[in-house]
Amino acid sequence: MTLFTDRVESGIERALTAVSLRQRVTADNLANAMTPGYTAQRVDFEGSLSAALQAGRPQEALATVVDSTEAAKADGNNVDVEVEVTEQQRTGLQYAALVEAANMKLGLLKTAIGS
Amino acid sequence: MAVLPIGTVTTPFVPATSSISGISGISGVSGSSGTAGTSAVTPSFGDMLARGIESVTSAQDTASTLGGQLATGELTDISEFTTAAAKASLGVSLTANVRNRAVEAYQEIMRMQV
Amino acid sequence: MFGALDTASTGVHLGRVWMDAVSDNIANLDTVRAGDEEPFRARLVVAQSRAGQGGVAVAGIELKGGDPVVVYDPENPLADGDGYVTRPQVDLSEEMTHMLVAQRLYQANLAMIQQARDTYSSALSIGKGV
Repeated sequence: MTLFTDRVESGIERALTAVSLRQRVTADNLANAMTPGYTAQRVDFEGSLSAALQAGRPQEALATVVDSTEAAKADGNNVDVEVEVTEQQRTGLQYAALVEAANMKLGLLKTAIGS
Repeated sequence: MAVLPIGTVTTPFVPATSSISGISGISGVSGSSGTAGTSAVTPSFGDMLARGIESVTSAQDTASTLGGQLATGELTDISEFTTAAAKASLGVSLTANVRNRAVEAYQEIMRMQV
Repeated sequence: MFGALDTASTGVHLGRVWMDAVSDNIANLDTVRAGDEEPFRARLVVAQSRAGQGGVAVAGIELKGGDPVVVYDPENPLADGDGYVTRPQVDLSEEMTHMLVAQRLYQANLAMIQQARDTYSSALSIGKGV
């Protein structure tokens, strides 16, 4: 495995898992957009991944689910549907870009291995 | 009104149950970059080949484990499985190529006039 | 494994139940009853987040509260013995607002299902051709 996993590839893989977590969290926010008392959640990981990559240890990057700090409406719900829809779009594109990056690295490996 | 079981707990998103984080630990070396601390001298070709094969086998094991999790529905992120499967497949290609080249080299040597 | 997709589908379900309830309420804007009976009361959908699973559940349907609005209308065939009818507890502008919100909820969650599907497909494409 380590023959194939350089740090960039490792970083891409961790980002993929984190972004898919972010997508689940966004889906939860959207489903509960009108649930009284519900607090929207966010996923923090870019900072952690960046620091882990700089330290040369991408496997130590962490994804944390945190409450959003947006103001709540009268019923205690603080979800803004438009914000979540935008987040959903962004997450989708982010994931697709990461898949491209992963495929590119795998393609290079395949070429290096030869046939 | 709790939402996700994760809550505000920091979750390492390489799940403990997967062997991916274990993989980086298994070999303990950087493989091709040759920074193994196991011997003071450059590792022999045989050593490198042995380590390479070990890496390929563990790649296949990882892919297999994740495939199992995929089948039972426990796997939360599909990309873990597909990247592991792609690497396992590359590993097989690499082994095949190395073997073929080794065989060719052997045959070449055998053809030489003594 | 398909968490985002399952979660989004609960949102779609809630949206649909809600839209149905609002439609029902609007259809009953003129449903008067005899003055001594319970008025028609608007249906309110109660949403509750599904702890541990993600997504939302329809916890139940409540009836809108409020003191009955009794009106003297002896010509009305539904009037009671004293000529009174009770008006439905439905507010049109409230219901229209709810309809818009319910529709937005429905659409946004539906879009989420599609996007989740695209994401899973692209995850499956990793390494194809390797």
